[in-house]
Amino acid sequence: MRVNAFIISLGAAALAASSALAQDYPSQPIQLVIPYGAGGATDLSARALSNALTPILDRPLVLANRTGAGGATGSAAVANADGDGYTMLAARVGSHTVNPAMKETLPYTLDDFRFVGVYEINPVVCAVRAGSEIDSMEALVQQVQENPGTVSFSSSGVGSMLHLAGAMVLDAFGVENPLENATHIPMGGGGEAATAVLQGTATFVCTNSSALASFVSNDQLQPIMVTTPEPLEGFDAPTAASLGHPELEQLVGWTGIAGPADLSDEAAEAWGEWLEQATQNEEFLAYMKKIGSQVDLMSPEESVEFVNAQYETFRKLVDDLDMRVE
Amino acid sequence: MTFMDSLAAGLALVLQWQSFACLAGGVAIGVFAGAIPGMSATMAVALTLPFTFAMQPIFGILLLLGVYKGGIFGGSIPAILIRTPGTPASSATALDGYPMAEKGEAGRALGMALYASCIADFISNLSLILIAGWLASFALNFGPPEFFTLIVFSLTIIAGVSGDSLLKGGVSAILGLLLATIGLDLVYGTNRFIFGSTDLMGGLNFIAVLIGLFALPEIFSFIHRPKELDGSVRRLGNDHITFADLRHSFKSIIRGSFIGVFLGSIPGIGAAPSAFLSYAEARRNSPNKANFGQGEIEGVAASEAGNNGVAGSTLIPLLALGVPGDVITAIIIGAFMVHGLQPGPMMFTTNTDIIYAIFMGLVMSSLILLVVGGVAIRGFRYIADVPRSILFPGVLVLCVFGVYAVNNAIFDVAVMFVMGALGYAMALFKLPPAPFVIAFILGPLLENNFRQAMLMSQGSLDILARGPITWFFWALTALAIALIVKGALHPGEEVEQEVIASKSAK
Amino acid sequence: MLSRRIEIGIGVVTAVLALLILFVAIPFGIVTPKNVRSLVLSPTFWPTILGIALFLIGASLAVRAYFGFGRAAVKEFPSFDRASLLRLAAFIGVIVFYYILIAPLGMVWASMLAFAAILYVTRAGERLTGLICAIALPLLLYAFFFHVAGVPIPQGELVRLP
Repeated sequence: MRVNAFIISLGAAALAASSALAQDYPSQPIQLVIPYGAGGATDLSARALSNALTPILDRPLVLANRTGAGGATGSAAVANADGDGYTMLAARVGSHTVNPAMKETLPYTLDDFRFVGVYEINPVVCAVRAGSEIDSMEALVQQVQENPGTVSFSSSGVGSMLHLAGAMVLDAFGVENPLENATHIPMGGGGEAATAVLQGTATFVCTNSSALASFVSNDQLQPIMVTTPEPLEGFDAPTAASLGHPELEQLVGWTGIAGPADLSDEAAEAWGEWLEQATQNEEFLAYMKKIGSQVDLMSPEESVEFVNAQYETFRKLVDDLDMRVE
Repeated sequence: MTFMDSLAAGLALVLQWQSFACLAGGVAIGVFAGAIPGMSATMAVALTLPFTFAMQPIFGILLLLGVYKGGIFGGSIPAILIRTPGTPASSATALDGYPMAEKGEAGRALGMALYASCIADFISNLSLILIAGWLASFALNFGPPEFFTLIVFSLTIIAGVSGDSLLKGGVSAILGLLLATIGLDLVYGTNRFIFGSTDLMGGLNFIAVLIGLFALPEIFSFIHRPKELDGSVRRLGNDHITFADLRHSFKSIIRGSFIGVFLGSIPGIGAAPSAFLSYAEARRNSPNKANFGQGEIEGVAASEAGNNGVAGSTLIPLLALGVPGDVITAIIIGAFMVHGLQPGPMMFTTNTDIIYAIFMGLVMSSLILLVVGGVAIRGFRYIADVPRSILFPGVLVLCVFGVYAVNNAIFDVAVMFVMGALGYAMALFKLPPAPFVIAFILGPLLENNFRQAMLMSQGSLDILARGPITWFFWALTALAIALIVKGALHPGEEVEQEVIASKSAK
Repeated sequence: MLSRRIEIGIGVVTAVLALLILFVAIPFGIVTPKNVRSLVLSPTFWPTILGIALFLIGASLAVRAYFGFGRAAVKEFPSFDRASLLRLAAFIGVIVFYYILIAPLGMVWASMLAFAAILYVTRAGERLTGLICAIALPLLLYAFFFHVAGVPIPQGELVRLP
């Protein structure tokens, strides 16, 4: 009897849900795919954003971590999803500019997505082990040129931003064939990449400032360059521009929200408004500041322009250095 | 601040009802989540994280640590009751825990898992407090070459879990190693064995493989002979662990705890290898070796000790160096940073009160685990009494939901089904599943560290013997292989023992 | 140890599998970039070692069984009569349909059907209890995973749960 009543009430609820379909977007929970693992930079950022979005949306925002292949698995899942706005992606520098620039066999391209807004910028910092003889970019470059093969840099894998960043920085400072003269050592993840420098497996790493903050404040790692236009609080290192390489300012991490290419205009507009409101949220701003990223909402057009510009820069670098992965 | 001042400040922080509530609540969430296949301790910690933002730092951190510890123990509950490892680390527990449940000793196995977990957890916490600094600087000496030799040594434990045929154990292990190579190549990023499938790019999901290999073959063999198995109803899981059991396994628990402490302090290894290493060592040193894998309580004790021994010591690299040892501690670092705390050497001078409060909270967490775990066992134990004709379809549905939840991928469900069929075939032909699992876990670590070492040395093999740590593990490996060869040349005793054991079991 | 014939079979199948891996799967399944620095760094290095080791082990299994070494304890191979083979085939069918139905029906409804189908295949005794479980368990799991753990359990197009 009780079971029956339960089924009836369920049926009623289901009916209620299906009649709600007639309403405007959103009429059902929205899934936000995070193409990286729980606890990573993208995950933390997307979860903070979802906390800020929850009071704005009248339907739940469900976060789904879909990890694998450096962000490609989750991104491909969204690229192939329906454009009804119920499957969105937390797109990241690794999955959307580095990977497309480097990987021939990637199951998607930038054109498979419609960006509704980039909301976060992560400064990139290059660091070496504290107490290392190499204590500046100049010394690093000198070491690479005088003793090829003795310098190595760690990354969180082939096609990660860290991989490209190491090569890009050396290339900008005039090292020829940086991938021949310096060794790229891929590690399992961003944390491991920083640890590898700390314990001497690799000479330097260029990664998001948030991944290095605690090492730097504990005097375990020494920052040698930041890629922001202004000096970065907590990182006692010169900016790329002050070292004469303003072009390295292109090298920043970012997170944005994107849908499949055929995302409906209705959903895109709704998301634009939501992001506008969420990025005003005090708690969200405070949290993002603490984890070391800058909230900077771009309009859909600005986002596309920004992402494409970074992609073109990376693409050219990949071509010049023959970094393409078949 | 003097030592006594900081201690007093730490005590004042931790001796509040909220810290007890957070710890107990965290452990309860963890045990529950760990007991659901597919809900790993990692997921539970990640889901709890946002709730800690609004709390005072110490409460939030204690809550997360509680979830972590509870989750690691919780995994042993389904491993014992339905042969479905809730977390990768508890697959070693399933080796002997499930046969015990089959014999109607689920309560005893669960009790042993709990006591072994708590003792190991306690030892691990004490080690964190007493020798963190020393272990941390030691762990920092582990680069890829050292890792490689450690993994080579760990692979020798495959011999200990191969059952009656070393060669079949070898086949099983190599299949595991091969399946672990699916995905993108580490160094060049090229495709390996993907054959055009996007889903395979990320490799095979760990939990899907594990659950497929352990839980599903049981369902297959039930379908094969439902009447026979259903007839022998598993008696009420209503028996308890005795003091004699505990004393009998005490040595293995202590050994397992220290294996856990050691492996846990090295970033990047995790709990699963530790559980298997502890299990293999217990088996090697036990007088009734042949009973391992048939429902030996010491096996349960050793694996649980090995896996919970890691729980305290993974915090060693976290607190002493600011280095996350695994995914879970990486999330916990996030919680520290949100509250403006930066784990690492500086924290011992700037936030001593928090450090001491964490230490004391950790010691309490072992006790809380004992209480909460005891309650959980009481609740979950009755799963052992569910008739199999209902239990097994239920397990299947549970596994489908759980495996999907790990990575939100329906493809993983297919992986689980295929691995289930493979696991059943392996069981029919007496290919042991444990070597497969160990190899699948260690395979990527072995290959990646080897290649990272080769990158470091520009292809010279000399680097694999670059220092005392590598020499030590090479020597251990040689010793282990010598023992295996000796055992293989004189197999008489073991086989006889096994015949006797299997006769007495009937 | 199983019977000698089966043991030889296992060895031979393993060895053949190893050869397939070495000569088909590795050349066609692994992309080797042109700029590989040294042999030990090649993506094929490790799988090739594994393939060779698998072949050696398979071959020695077969040889050992053929010459009858180590036949100390013979465990019997489980018997497969017609009825149990039919049941296993039906179960595999259930699993395949279960997987196929998850996308169109949603995980909850597909699970109910699969649960009930298995009850039918095994001719379970407690029909009513079984059916109640078949309906309740997927709903409970859905409630937990979706509402507590926040996992987007796939829903079909037909009837959506709240």
